[in-house]
Amino acid sequence: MTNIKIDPNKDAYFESLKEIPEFSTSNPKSTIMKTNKKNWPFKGLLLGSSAILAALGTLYLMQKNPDQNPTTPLPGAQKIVASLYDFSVPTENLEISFSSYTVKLNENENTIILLDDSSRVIIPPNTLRKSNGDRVTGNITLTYRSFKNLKEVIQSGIPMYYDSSGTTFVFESAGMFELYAYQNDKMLQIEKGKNIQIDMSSDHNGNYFNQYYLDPQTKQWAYIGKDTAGSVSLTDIEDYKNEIDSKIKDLVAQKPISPKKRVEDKPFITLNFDKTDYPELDAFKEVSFQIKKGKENLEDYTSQKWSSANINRKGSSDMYTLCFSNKTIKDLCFETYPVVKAENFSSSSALASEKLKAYKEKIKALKKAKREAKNYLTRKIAELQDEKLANQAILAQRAQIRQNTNNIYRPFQASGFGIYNSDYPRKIKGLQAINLTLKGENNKVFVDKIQGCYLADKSSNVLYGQVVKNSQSIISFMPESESMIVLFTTNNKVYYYPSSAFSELEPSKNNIDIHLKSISASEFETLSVDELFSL
Amino acid sequence: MPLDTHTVLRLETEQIEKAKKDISFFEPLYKKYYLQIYKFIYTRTGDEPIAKDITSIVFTKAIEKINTYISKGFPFSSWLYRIARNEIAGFYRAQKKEHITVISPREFNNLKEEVTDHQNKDLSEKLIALLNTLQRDEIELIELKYFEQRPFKEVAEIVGLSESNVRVKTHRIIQKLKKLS
Repeated sequence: MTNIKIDPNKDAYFESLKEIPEFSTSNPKSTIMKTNKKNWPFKGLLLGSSAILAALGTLYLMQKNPDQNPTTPLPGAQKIVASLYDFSVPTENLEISFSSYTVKLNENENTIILLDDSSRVIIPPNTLRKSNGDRVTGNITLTYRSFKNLKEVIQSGIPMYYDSSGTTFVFESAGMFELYAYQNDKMLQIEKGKNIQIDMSSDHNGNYFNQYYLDPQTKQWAYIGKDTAGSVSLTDIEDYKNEIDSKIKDLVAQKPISPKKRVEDKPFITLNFDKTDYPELDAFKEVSFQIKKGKENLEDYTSQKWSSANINRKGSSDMYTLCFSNKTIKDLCFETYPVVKAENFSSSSALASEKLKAYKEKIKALKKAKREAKNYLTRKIAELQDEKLANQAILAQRAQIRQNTNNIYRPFQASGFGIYNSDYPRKIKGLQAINLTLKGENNKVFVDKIQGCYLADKSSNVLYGQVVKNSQSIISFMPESESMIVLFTTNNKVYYYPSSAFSELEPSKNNIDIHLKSISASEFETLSVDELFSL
Repeated sequence: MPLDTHTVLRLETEQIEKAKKDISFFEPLYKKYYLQIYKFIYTRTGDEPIAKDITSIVFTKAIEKINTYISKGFPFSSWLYRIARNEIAGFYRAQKKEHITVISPREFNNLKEEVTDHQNKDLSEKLIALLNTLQRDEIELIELKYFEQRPFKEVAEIVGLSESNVRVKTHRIIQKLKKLS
């Protein structure tokens, strides 16, 4: 189904279009090469499923032989060795550390690394390269950290705005991660044309997210494709099956009709019409329509001039309704069937027989494709069930892994290391602006130098950065959302304006005093998002 | 003097062959077709940022796959339209949203004139309602043939059906709309 919208401004808008993005093949993030890797659903399904299948073998092996678990997290979390980014984090005390995982690369099968947040990295054989282009074998170390909720995103300092051709959007996040691979303290690369797969666990359901890569140079997000989020791909197969059904339906409507001989002493109608509109009559040489039912005495009508004539096939039968109209007679209709003259019967029948044979072959092929799609669906559902069981076994062995049954995997195909996210870009609109004066706990104007100030909108799962730069500012927020302000000073102090107070703001006032409360960085670090919004 | 179609196609094929060897030769093709493809995608998404992103993907794919392109006597744009069509389909599959088609009153009149006479003032709303009941592949033919006024040959190339099949299907859709409106 399609929703048709008439836009009176469309032609004018198209007329106004003159500028196009600059063409470039040298800077892959700046112009048309913004998408260095795309992950459309069906492709994602195939890549994802093959990786999942490969993963299954290893996972079962690990289940049977726990000692052979190839993933060995190093004791404790380590500080990052290096990052491609240099964000201004709100305070170093709260910077989220990388976890490191050392693993031996499998030479002939995928290497699967289960991460502490229950995400996993799947590295196909012969995918990693050293900076000199040499193939990587043996042990490597992955460094990984994730930012899955508003609080962690605040701590990351990562910009959550997205610019798409001059329009700024704010991200609703389903989670982000930063990933690198090292060998002997040197950063590795992914071979050009290859990918590793990261199945990021996400608490956020929903199939409306996109995937982005953060360009280390420009610090701009580059769109890389739609987030397929696991089960979406099953629907793609279902769509494919439905598409086949639709093709079969179309084909049945064009099923060739076997000719009949015209009975010359019974009434028939001959028309000049475009036979390409009626492919089922292709085999008929000089077709005419024998009247089966209707006004059989045609004499009254043969001298009439008709302004319109319609030929309508009745479903997929070999009956046609012929209707004629003019100024005085409206819809003179006859039930007919197509016929050929006796002399053309033999050749027409032979041709119809050939066409019928070809038609049957096409139908057979389509039905086979439909059966295969159906079988694939059944098999895929079973595989996903197996995978779930295998994962449960692994998760049970690794008690430290957070078991969250609501998690879903968001598969990324990464062609490079760095920061990736799964987000939905929202247009910034509907915000209410207020003038405010920041005040400290002593009720005096806030004088500390601000390092970072965020407006967290829990209802939309959106974070607005740098909303306040000094004590006298204008702030915009969504009135109906559950929001709070979190502020960091250059001397590493953390302040907040609670959600409960936010909900009582009166935007109609000219100037509003915002009384900030302080919280220690260590306490802030321990709070969950819900706890933060309950302060 | 404008060049004839045959010469235009020949020059375009030469440009494509150059681009296969050196991708910087793709730029004239990009400049020539960017807006056409953008408009095609915008019409089918109704959202400027999304249309720009998908257009970007279409040209990225075209550059990646240019070595596989074989000229079959159709304008290069037909190939780009096919990529765009697939990307749009992928977009809607992933988003699970209802397909949108944004048309101007002028484009709508192209169809209205085909389906009925102008005397029926109430027809517009009814016709829109009828269009909204059509299957996706049916509305696609109406978009290409009546809203965008493309020749059957080009429509067939874009949707990957034979020209005669496209004619038949389009004719039947129009008959259906005539009957119901």
